[in-house]
Amino acid sequence: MNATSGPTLILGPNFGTLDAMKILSVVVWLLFVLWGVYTIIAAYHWLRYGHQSSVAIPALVVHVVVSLALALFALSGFSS
Amino acid sequence: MEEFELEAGEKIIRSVRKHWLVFVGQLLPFALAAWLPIYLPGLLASLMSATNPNATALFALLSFANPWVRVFFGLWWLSLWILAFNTFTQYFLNMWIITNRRIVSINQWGFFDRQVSSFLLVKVQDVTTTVDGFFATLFHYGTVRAETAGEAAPTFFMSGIPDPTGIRDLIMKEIAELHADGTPAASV
Repeated sequence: MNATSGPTLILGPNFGTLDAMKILSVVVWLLFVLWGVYTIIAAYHWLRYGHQSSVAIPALVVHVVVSLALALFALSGFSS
Repeated sequence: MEEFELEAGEKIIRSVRKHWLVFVGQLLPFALAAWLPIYLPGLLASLMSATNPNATALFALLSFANPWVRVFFGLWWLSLWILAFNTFTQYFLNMWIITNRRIVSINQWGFFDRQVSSFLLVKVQDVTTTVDGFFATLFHYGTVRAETAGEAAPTFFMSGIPDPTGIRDLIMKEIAELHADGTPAASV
């Protein structure tokens, strides 16, 4: 092993071939699934335990709209 | 109501949530965490520019023109938004419901940790209010503590309630009316 081969071996032989966009897409999908699960659980609690309040539906709509806006902002740099 | 059924002749007098200022105070850390990543690169660049001339050029890369910066900020803000919404959900679902027979205390600690307890007004021995601190005094919110009779009976309290003295007076008035009427206590 020479001095220059160290970092490559630590990171693995295929590290240089990893596609950043593929990693990003996996991370985004993972976060989307987590966000979806969270949103379903939150919606269940709002609708079941929200004391029949008129705030429940608007609150959930705001949550979804703001979340989507932030997600679109995060990915907007790769749209072109 | 999903959590409890009103007895015959029982009516809801008032529902109480925490004061809005308490909720705003809970949101402040999220606002700070959202703003900090915007401010920090500029501060670091100005601090390091004296010793490293390349620092300004390096930190200039951290602009919103860089798509990876947008990814970072977008996902960071999304995470903070979810946490803030969670805080709002807890704020909204936690409440005290005062009826003419009892007080129902609903505590949503987390999505999978919900506690609903009710205690009869006829068993309440003492109601104490505490207004502690500058903002609590200025905006008139505090803690209401209700102690019930019996050795094993718990003390119920809710902090950050608006108009705590008004709530205490309301509870005491309902207790007095209950004793005056001689109305049988509703079952829990």
